[in-house]
Amino acid sequence: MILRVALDVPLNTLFDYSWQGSAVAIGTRVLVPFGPRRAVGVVAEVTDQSALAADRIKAVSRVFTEVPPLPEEIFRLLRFCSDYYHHPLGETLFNALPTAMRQTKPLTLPKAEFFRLSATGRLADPATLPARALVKRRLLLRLREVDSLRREEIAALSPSAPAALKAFIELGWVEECSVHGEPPPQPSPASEGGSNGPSPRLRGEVGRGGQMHDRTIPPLTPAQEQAVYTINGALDEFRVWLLHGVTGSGKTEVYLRTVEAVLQRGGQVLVLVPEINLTPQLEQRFRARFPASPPLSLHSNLSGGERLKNYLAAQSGQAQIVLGTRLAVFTPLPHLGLIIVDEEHDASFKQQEGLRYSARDVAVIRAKQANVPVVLGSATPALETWHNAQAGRYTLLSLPERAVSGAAPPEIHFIDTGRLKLEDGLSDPLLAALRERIARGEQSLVFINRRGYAPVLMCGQCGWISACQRCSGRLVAHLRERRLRCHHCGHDSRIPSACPSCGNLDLTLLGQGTQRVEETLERLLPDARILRVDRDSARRKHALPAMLKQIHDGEVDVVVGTQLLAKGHDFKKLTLVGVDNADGALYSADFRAAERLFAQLMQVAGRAGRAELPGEVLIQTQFPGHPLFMALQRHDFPGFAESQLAERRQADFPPYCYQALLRAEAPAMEKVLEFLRAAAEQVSEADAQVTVFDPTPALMVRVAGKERAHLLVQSASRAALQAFLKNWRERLEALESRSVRWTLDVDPLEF
Amino acid sequence: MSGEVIEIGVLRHTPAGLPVLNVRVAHVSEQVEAGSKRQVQCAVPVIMIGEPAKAGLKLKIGDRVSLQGFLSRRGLNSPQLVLHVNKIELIEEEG
Repeated sequence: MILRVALDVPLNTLFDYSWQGSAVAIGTRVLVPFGPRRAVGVVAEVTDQSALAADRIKAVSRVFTEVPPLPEEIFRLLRFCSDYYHHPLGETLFNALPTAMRQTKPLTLPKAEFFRLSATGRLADPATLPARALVKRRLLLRLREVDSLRREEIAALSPSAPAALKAFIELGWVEECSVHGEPPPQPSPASEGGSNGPSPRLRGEVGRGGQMHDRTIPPLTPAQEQAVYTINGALDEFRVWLLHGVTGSGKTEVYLRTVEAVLQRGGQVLVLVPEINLTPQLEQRFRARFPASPPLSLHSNLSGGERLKNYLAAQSGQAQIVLGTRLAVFTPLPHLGLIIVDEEHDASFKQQEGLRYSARDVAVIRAKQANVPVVLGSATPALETWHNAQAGRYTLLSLPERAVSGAAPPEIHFIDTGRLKLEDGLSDPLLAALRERIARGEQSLVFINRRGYAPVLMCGQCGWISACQRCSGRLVAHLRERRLRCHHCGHDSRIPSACPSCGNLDLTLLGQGTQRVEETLERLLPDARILRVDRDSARRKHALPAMLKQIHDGEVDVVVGTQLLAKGHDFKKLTLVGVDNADGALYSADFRAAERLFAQLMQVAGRAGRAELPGEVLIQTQFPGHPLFMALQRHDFPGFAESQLAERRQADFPPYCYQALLRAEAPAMEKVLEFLRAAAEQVSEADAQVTVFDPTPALMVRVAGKERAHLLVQSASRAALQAFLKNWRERLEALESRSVRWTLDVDPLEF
Repeated sequence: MSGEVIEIGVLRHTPAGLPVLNVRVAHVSEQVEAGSKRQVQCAVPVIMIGEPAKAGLKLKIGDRVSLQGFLSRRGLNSPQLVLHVNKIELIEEEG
C-alpha cells in the first residue's frame, strides 16, 4: 500500500512511501527516509497507486502507534487552514502538533505527576499495614492529609517512598491525577479578598448538575441572565455569539454558566485566551467552579511533556475543559460542545509567522465544522466581528452594565499635556490624584506601554542617536541592567560609556519607559509602595503570579504597568488609572491604529473601580478633544465602531473588502521590490475582481538586518480573492526569487 | 583656572553609570591686558565626570579650588561654554 505523507517542509505536496504492514489510519505518525535524513510525517492519504515509478518509492521506516492518530475533524480543519491561508499542508499540520510529536522518535508518554488516594485507598486503614512498613504508613497518612501529592514530594518523604507508591498503585489504593489538588486561593468578585481560608473545594457543595459548587457564585444581572439563557438555549448547533460586555460586566461569569451547561451534557469546552499570562487567573476561576473537571491548559510556556500530556488528555476526552492560547485551537476534542474566545479582538490570536492564522477565525470555522456554538467575548470587539454582528451573521449579546451592583464605569478625564509642564512625563494633576489614592489606601495603575527606561539614548553634543544597526527602530535603554536593547530583533549591548560618534560621556536619555516612570514615582512619592509590572520584571517563571498576588493583597500602592496588566485583571482596590502619553497611535499610518488604541485604553480604563469603589481614569494627551477620546469618555464603543466603520467603508478597507499581503524580505530593498514587481506582473486579466496595489516598504522597513516590503491585494469578494491567491501562489513559486524570502498573509493585521 | 565654589548640583550618573556633578565656580583675579592691569570676574559652569565628580562631592560652597580641563559647548543648541574638569585641587577650605 502507498502512504501519502505530509512532512514538515515548505513544499505544498504530499510524499509517497510504500508500507507492507497492517492497515494504517489517516493521521498516524510515521518515520520516513527523506533525503539524507529521516523525517517524521503524518499519513494524509492511503492509496494503492502512486504516480511515481515503483523503484523511486522508498519504504516507510516505522509506524508510530503509541498514541491514537490525529482525528479526522482536526485533519479537516487543518486542510481548511492550509487552503485558506495558502500554506503547505505539511507545515500546517506540524504547526498544530505539540513539539514532542514532531520528533523522529516514539513518544515517551509523560509520567504522571500527581497522585491521590483512590476510593478504596481512602478506606484503607493504616493500622492494617505491617508495623515495620513505616514508609508505607507515612505515605498513606500523608496522602490522607492532602488532596494529592507530586511525584517529587513523594520521593522527598523517604528513599523507599517511590517503591511504596508503586505498591499502593498495584493495590489500587492510589491513582494518578492530572492536577494538584489545592489551587492557591484567589479573590473572586464576591469573596472576602485574599483570605487564606479553606480552599474553594472545601467550601463547595454539590450542585444540581453533580458538579461541586462554589458557594460564592455571584447572582446574575438581568443582562447576564439573558445572555446565559440565550446561549444555553441553542447548544445543539453552530451559532456565533458576540458577547459584547463593558469591562467588569461579568463576561467570565457568562462563560462559566454556559460551560456548566455544556459539561452537564457531557460536552468538552475549548476556551481560548489571548495571552499566557491570563490563563492562570481564568484557570483558577474555572477550577473553583468545576473542581470535578479542572481545566487543562495548553500554551507555549508549558514544558514539552506537560503540553503533550494535556494534548493527549484532551484527545482522549478525559479533559473536559481545555484552556489555552491560540495554538490550542487545534487541540483534538472528540466531544467538543462549545468554543469560547475571550478578548476576541486581541491581535495575539493572529500568528505572525509560519502559518499566519487567526485563532479566532479558525475557532469559528471549527465550530461550524463541528456544528457547535462559539462565543466571542470582548468589551471592544474587532470591527470585523462587530460588522458581522451588525450584518446578522453573528448574534450580538450585550452586557451594558458592570456586574457588581453599584459599580459604575470609571469616569474618564483628559490632562492636556500641551499646556502643562511635565515632571519626567508625569503631570501635576496625575501626581495629585495618585497622592489622593495613596492617602485613602486605594491603589493606582500608571499605564505606559513602553518597557525599559527610555526609548532613546542620544548625545546632546553631536546629535547621535541609539539606532539599531539591523532594524529601523531605536535601541531602548534598560538602565537597571545597563543594556541597550532592540525590541524588534533582540539586539542587546552594553550602554556605551561615551558617545560612539564624538566621545561625549554625558549622554542623554530621552522619553519615558516603565523603569523611568517607576524611578520618578519613587522619587516624587517616597512613601508609596511602587511595583513595576512589565515583560522584564515578569520574565522569571512565576514572577507574574507573585506580583499579581502582591497587588491583590494590597501590598502595593502604585503599579507601573504595560499592556501586560491591561487585560482581564480584577483588582478590587484599584480606583485610579493614569495613562502616560498614548498619542502616537493617533497619527499612525496603520488604519487599525485607532481601533487598537481605543480597545487598549478601554481595557486599561476598565481596571479602575471594578468593585464598590468608584474608578477614575486620567489620560495625558496633547489632543484632549480628539473624537476617539470623546467616544472613550462616553464609554461608547458602538458609536466609535460606527464612525470607524463609516471611514473604512469610504476608504474601502476591511471589513468592506478582503485583503491578503505578499510579504517579502531580503538583505537589500532593491531585490525585494524587484521580486514584488515581478509578482504583481503575474496577475492576469481574468483576475478583474482583485485589486493589486504597488509594492510598498513595510512600516518597519528593516528588522534584523532584512529589508521588508509588501504587496497588498484585495477584493470585495472573499471567494474571488481566494481563487486568485491559489493560482497566484503557484505562479509565485515558479518565480526566480534568489535571496528573497516571501510569505502570503491572508487577512493581515499588521503592515 | 581657580575660584570659589558658589553652587553645587545634585550628583547624578551618566546612562553608563559614571558619576556626574555640575558646579559653578566664581573666578576673581587680576590679569594684565595690553600692558595694563585689570580686574577679572566671572562665574563658570563646571562639569565633573568620573573621578573628578567623586572628588567634587567633598566640596562645600565657599571652597577655593584650582581646576584643569577643557571647554566645550553645553549642547547642540546651546553655544554656552562649560568647563569639563580633568583635575581638581582644593586650595583653601571654606571658613
